[in-house]
Amino acid sequence: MSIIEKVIEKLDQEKPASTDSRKKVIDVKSKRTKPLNQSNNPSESNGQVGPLDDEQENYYELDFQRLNNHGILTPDSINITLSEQFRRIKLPVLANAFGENTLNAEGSNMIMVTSSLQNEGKSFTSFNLAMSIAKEFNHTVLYIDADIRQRMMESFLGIGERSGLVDYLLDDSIALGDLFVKTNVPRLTLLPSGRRYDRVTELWSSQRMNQLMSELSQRYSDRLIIFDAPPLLQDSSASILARLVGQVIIIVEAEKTPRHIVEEAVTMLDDSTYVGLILNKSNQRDVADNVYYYGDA
Amino acid sequence: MREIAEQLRAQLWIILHHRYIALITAIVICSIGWVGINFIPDEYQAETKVYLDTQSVLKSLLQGLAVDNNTREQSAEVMQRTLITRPNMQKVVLETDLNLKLNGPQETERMIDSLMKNIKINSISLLKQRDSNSNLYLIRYTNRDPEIAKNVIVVLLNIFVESILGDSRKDTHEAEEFLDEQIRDYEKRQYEAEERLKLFKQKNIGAMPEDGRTQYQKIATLDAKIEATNLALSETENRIVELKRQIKNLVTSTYNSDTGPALLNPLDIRIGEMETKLDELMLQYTENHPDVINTKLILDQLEQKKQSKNQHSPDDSAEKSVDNNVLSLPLYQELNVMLGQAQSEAVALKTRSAQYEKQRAEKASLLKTLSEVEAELSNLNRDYAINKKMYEDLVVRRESSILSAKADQSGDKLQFKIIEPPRKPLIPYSPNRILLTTLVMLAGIGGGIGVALFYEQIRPTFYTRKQVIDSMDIPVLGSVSMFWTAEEKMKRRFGLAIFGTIGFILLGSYIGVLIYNGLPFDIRDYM
Repeated sequence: MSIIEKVIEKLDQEKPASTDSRKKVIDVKSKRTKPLNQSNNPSESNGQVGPLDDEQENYYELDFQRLNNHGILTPDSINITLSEQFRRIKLPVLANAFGENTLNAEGSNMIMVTSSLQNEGKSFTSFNLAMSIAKEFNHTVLYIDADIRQRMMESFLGIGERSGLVDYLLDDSIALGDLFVKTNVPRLTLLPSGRRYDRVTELWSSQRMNQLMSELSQRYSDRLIIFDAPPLLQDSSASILARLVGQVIIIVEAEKTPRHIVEEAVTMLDDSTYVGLILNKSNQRDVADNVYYYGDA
Repeated sequence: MREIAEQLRAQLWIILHHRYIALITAIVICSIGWVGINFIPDEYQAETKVYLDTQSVLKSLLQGLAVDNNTREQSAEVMQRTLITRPNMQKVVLETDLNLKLNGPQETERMIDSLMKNIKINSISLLKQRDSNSNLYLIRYTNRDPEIAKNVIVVLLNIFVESILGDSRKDTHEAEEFLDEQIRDYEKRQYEAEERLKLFKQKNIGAMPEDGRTQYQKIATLDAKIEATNLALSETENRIVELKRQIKNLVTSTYNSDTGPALLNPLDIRIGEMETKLDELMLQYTENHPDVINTKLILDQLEQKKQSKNQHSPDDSAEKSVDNNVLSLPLYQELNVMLGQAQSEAVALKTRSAQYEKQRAEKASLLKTLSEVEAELSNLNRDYAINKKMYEDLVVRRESSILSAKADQSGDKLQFKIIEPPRKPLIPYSPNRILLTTLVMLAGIGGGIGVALFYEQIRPTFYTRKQVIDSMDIPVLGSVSMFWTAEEKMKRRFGLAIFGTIGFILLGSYIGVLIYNGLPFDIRDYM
């Protein structure tokens, strides 16, 4: 059982009986929490300008203590090893997205984090990557929960059911800016998955989705968009989504995910897709450290 | 070096990761193994230790084959090859009554094969050094039945002893038997010869040569006697002739010359004697004396006799008177006596000679049958003598044979000795359940590790970032360490506790099985 599942369980217990999602979205909208200290953020002016952001009123305060307990890097995190590991990961990711060797002009700043099977640590890794990049001075992060079925954001982060991506795609009247959720991490914005929907694959293939993706990609050139996607081998929507993003990161669970499964997962992607692997839940920390220190990787 | 260490580390990590698979495999292997060990039947090994003067024994075993300077192993090998043979094994099967349990020749053959395979002769050394002159051998046999195991060794030892000692002893024994038989035979023959001789002697009692003198000697004696007798006879006859001539000469000389002394008539001599006597008597006695009367009477009678004699032969009175004159001569009378004696002697000699002649004729007639009897007798005697000689020879030879056999046996004692006699084994020799239990335990652990590694082989996963880099041609962005949440840690500890508990149960089972299988364990030793 992964950390995330455990968190879900915990949250399920904490969470009150589920209510009507619509009503909740409204509730969230109307809810006013303490304003962010945005003026201190140097990139704020760039990142938050635009029509989408005009009506942005959503805010969710992340419980850093709880996230820390579950191994999520927070600004006050003291897990040096973990933060260092993500630092090492984000460098090539950022290089691919914004550097000189940008993979492709279109959508290179959109990163899909997936895995072969479930419970390999997609949400853990993707959110940590988001948190790590959010520490960057020049980049903001939009974290999108694209796993409609598992809906990690709701449970994992404790946000609860909110209107999100699916709602935007299905309903023309909803402005995207209304759906973004600001957090107490200055450069991190969340986009929940939204309402439950069965035909996700078809939805992702829709014209509106394409428009949304190019818009997301192009509007803020310094923003990195991270999709938390479902497992490649268990959900066909992941393959569709992979075509829309610039980079795909496949999480491989150390000691558990068989090699052939990973290879099979890779075949689910187009050849042209840029794929990177992250070994998660590795117990061989010393070797990794050696690699790090001696720099022979 | 670092590569190898990393490899080992990786393997170890794989095993640790699949520890549950390994543990389950170990449990399965151990369960099956330990239960299986119980079904292995007990086998008992009987053994005996013998001392052998290898060289001499081998020489006796391998007559004509060169066996010089063998090593101990070779000696044992030779012993094994020469003793553990099919005929010997057949003997073993028969003498241990193993054949009673077997059905048919095929099973017997199989039994013999198994005997040949399972009987082991090893050379052992009391000293640690591997000297080739060690003469100690260990003979072992293993069977499910301790009694059979022991019996096989006992029978084998007997065969062993027989084949080593038996060669010479059997020979002498056979020789003795042969000699005994011959002696009995000759005894009988001798007795029969004696019997025959006795009967023959009884039958031909008269015709037996006495005291070494043959019948021929007897005839010769008789011939000599006859000759002597005839000689005496002719002498006597000559004497008679001579005497007769002398008498005739005497008579003629008396006729021819008157001057010759007159020959007195015996009657006249008596009358003269009587008259002289009468005169003498008359001088002493009267006429009436009885003696005188008697003498007168005799004289008268004599006178009358003379008168009547002269009257009866008046013709020849002259000649008669001459004869009477000659006859009355003492010489004549003497000669006549001698002649009579010679004549009677001649008659006696004649009779004796005739007797001898008769005897000789008898002997001569006997001679023919006698030679036959004698030939047969000497034949009988020769048979008897030969028998006797043979008999004596045989007795001597038997004695010497017994003596030599005794000498051999006393020699054998030096070259063969049972140091440890076979006995019925009480503790099974195999299987070594303690060892097997341990081996199963090790097999379980090894199998568990093997299965863990095998599982990893057929379903490889990634342990290090390097592995991902090496095996996937996809860029690797990095690796993230396992983050142990409090709950994960708890769960992990719980898992390890369960693993440890099961592991300890397995270990405890191992010790339990060891004790069950007879490991000498006394709880008091540990209190």
